[in-house]
Amino acid sequence: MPIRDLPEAPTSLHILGPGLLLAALGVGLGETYLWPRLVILFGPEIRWLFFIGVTLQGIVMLEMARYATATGESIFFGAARLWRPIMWLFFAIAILVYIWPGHVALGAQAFESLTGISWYIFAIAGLILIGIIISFSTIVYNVVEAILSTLIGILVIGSSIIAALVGNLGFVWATITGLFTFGYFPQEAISGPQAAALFPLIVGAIAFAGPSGMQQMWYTLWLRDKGAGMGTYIPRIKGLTHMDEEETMPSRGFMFDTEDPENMRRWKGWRRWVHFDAWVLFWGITMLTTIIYTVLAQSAVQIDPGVREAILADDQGATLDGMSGAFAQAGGAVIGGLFFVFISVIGWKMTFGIFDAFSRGQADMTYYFIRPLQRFGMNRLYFAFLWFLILFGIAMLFVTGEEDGPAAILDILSVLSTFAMGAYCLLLLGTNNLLLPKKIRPNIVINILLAFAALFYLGMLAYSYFRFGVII
Amino acid sequence: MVTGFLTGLLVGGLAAVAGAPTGYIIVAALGLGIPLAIFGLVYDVLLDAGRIPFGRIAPTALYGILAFPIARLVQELLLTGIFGQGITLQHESGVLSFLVFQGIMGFGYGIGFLMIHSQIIEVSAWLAYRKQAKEEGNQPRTAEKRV
Repeated sequence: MPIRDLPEAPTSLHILGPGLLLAALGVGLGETYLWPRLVILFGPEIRWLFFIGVTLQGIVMLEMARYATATGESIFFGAARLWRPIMWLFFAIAILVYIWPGHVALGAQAFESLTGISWYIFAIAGLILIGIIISFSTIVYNVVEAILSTLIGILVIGSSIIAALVGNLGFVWATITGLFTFGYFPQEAISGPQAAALFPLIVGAIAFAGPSGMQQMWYTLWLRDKGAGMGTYIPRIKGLTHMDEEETMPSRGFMFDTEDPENMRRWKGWRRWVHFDAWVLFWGITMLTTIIYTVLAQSAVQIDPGVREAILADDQGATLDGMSGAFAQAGGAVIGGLFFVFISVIGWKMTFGIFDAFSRGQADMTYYFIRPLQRFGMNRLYFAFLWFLILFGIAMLFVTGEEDGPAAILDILSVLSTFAMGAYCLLLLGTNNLLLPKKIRPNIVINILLAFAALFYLGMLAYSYFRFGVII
Repeated sequence: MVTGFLTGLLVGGLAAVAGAPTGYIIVAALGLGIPLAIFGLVYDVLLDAGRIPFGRIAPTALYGILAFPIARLVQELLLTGIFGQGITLQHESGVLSFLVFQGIMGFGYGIGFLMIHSQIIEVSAWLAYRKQAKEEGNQPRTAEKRV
């Protein structure tokens, strides 16, 4: 890699950063439905697994950032440097997992419950809106950051207020103490007639603790466009209307001189910035929102015991309806309706974030490793993937009958998603220990934690498969 | 300076308790909205005076932890005083546990407030910066505008 100076890290630690984007993207199905559901099923003690899951994701995030800030390259490029088929594997997984419009459909269904208007209309309008917003932006990253941070802000404020009006201190206390009951595992999920159904449920929920699937890998692309570390030297994705301003993309990333004390001082500054991003913005905000949603689920069950039945039956639609109904009983129709608005916001923002990130990742791999397509430039490839997703999503919504339900589409994500998480932990062990200069490689503790994370995700999948014959 | 006021007022409006008599709804919405708007205003004044650093989490979270329970208590006391029934205060074991719970939710409120508030300030500052750069005929340096 060519050597250039590492830019100075920002001195002030600010709330708006790629870590907040990852939290905004990550707060979704797991935090608002799967984990509250596990709490209702097994009690708040099960939440220590969430704690472990999100903490491991924090470590993964630091390591993703290590590679991206040191080189300006995405983790996909790193994978290709190790062995190109690894990168193509992630390319394929991304397509299989993320082309389905499941999240926007989930959000649109919540909107249908609120307004009575068919969810198809909201889903299609939501998809087109994503295309329009991104196409007409100047710098795509800035717009994505602004929209996702605002929506997560509205979500955090709104759900805090609903929880403040329906919850109580006992629920918060149970939720927080449950985070530290390390080692608790419900007996019925290991043995007994229910185990084959319950164990995979826990595995799925762990995979959905924080950013699931490939979201962490996309974080490296957001870091690059934020201009973090050596990413400053890489041009950014611009909107369709600003295509003429596209800068030439270098053929590879850059490295700084790790023997130079000044560059190493700046590196330490960037690591501080990344730690703040990972622990305060990502870990803290993910924990906060999930605590609030667990309080909401517990309150809903207390207000209306019928919600518990819907949760136990794993009927997501009925659960959300029930929770909204319970809040309406306690705080009035506005509060009940607002709950649906928040679920819609979650569905749309996840689709928005995923569509942007997916297109970034696929465009990055296509641009660098399918040479004949390089002449189109990174920007055009990005928009080709984005509009393909939008049009494919609209087509899928037309062919998917309501009987199958959007929730059924979401289930497809689970297995490959968890596999990708285990696989990228192994990938990080390779990229950060083999490709980076010795001075900036992760220490032994981080390496052990990464190996543990790989074992955690892949081991649970394998155990679930061999013990119960089902994966998730 | 109005950012905090408006944010607080809007958020307070969310607390409109529907299904109840109109008078109850109005008192519930304004009872939370106005105190939060006043706290939002105070926040902006402190920000302008340089007492609170822009975009920093800890001071704003602390602001939420302190301001939100007070605003909620005002709302509950108003509702109880006028209509004889609050929203959740009567279900709590005591005022202290009520305040502690609202304080924890206030932490969430503070963080959410900061995200939206920072975004509004950031966007308006960026637009002003762009305008100035355009007028001076030079674009900001890449590294400066990106992080």
